[in-house]
Amino acid sequence: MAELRLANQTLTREEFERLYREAYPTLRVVASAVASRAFAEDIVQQAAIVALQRLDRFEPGTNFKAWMSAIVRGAAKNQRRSERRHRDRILKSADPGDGTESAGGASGGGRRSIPGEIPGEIEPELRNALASLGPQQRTCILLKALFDHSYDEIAAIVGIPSSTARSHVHRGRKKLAEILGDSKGMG
Amino acid sequence: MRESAGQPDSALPDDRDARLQAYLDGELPQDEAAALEADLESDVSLRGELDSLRAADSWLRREFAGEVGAEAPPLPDADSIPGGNPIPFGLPPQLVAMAAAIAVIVGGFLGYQAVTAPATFNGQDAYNLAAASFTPDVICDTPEKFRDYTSKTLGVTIDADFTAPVALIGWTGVDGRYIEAGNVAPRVLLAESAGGERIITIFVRDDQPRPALRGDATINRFTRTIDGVRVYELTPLDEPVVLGVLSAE
Repeated sequence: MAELRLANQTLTREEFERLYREAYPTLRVVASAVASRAFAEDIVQQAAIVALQRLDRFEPGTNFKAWMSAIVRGAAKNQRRSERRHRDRILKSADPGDGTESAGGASGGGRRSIPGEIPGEIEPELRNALASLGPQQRTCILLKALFDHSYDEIAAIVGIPSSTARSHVHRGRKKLAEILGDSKGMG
Repeated sequence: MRESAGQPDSALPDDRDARLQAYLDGELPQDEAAALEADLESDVSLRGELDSLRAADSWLRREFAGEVGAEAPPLPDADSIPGGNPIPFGLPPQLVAMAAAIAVIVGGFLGYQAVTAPATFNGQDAYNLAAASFTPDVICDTPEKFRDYTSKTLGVTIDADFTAPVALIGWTGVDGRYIEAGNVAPRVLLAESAGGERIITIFVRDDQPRPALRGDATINRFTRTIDGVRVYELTPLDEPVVLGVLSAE
């Protein structure tokens, strides 16, 4: 009985591609939060290939983003391990100040000045604060700020309880807000 | 600053923060939201905290602005794997074979077995075959030649550190000439590590089709984007060595 659904309830490639396109920005953010942004696109594409090979494991009607996110997180963790090894190697071999750009630094957000009221000098502090969050918390806060996903949805995507997702967002947001608040006080 | 008796709803800092964040998330019931708005009118400190929380979200949205509208690149065509030519451009047969080898190798890096890949597929063999078959037809043996070639073929000037402990052997173009803009062939840089291992680095502009991906875990693949050019390093080593010596102008 349970086997019946396997024969006729898997996604077609076309259905997969449609859902994948819809989920893509979210999946990129999940990848960015775990590994560096420079690799996000590749990570998501790798995950999509894996997902295509495992379509029979996805049950239509269930949460596609959550299913894909789990695969993306796995691929991103592998990439992060690789980045760490590479960074260590570069740090060991590169002469200080030789101008060599380490992998992952090409498309990360590290150079633009922020328009508006935020003083440019606190950008590094904000980025450091964001980087200091755990990958799970970083994912939560980004999904909330960028897409305004509900906490239930964030929880499903990250694979944690909704209350934890809420707590991650609140604490992460507060951490950034304190930096911004301090900068106003100083200014 | 002001947690006075006149502000009963914000007596505790945690309550105060939770209330503000719930308001920001649009989760406060209407009557509580109205009460908070009244408090905000009279409590400068509370308003400052809300402004900072809002500014945090705004900063994140600006910092990651490119992510929100990101469009998915096309997925590789499963039908073209493994026998076809996944890089769609008209080339002499030997170059088509080279491109197919590249595609096989690129996929090998992913460490995933493609649906249609034969169980005996060996990425290391494919890599060895491709690495041995490349004959550099454009030699970029100086930083100046390298910059000139990347500028003309990719539209982006890429620098390479020629003093790094890796030998940049040459650059293989499609037919040995500078390629007009719009040609979709990948550019291949050959390199040799300090230990003598041959390394293939493929450059594909972001607006060009990518090599198809298929799998075997025996080859390592690393990627990096430099100014809109996707660079793939295919290597028998555990770590990339070429990516670290490339940089945008």
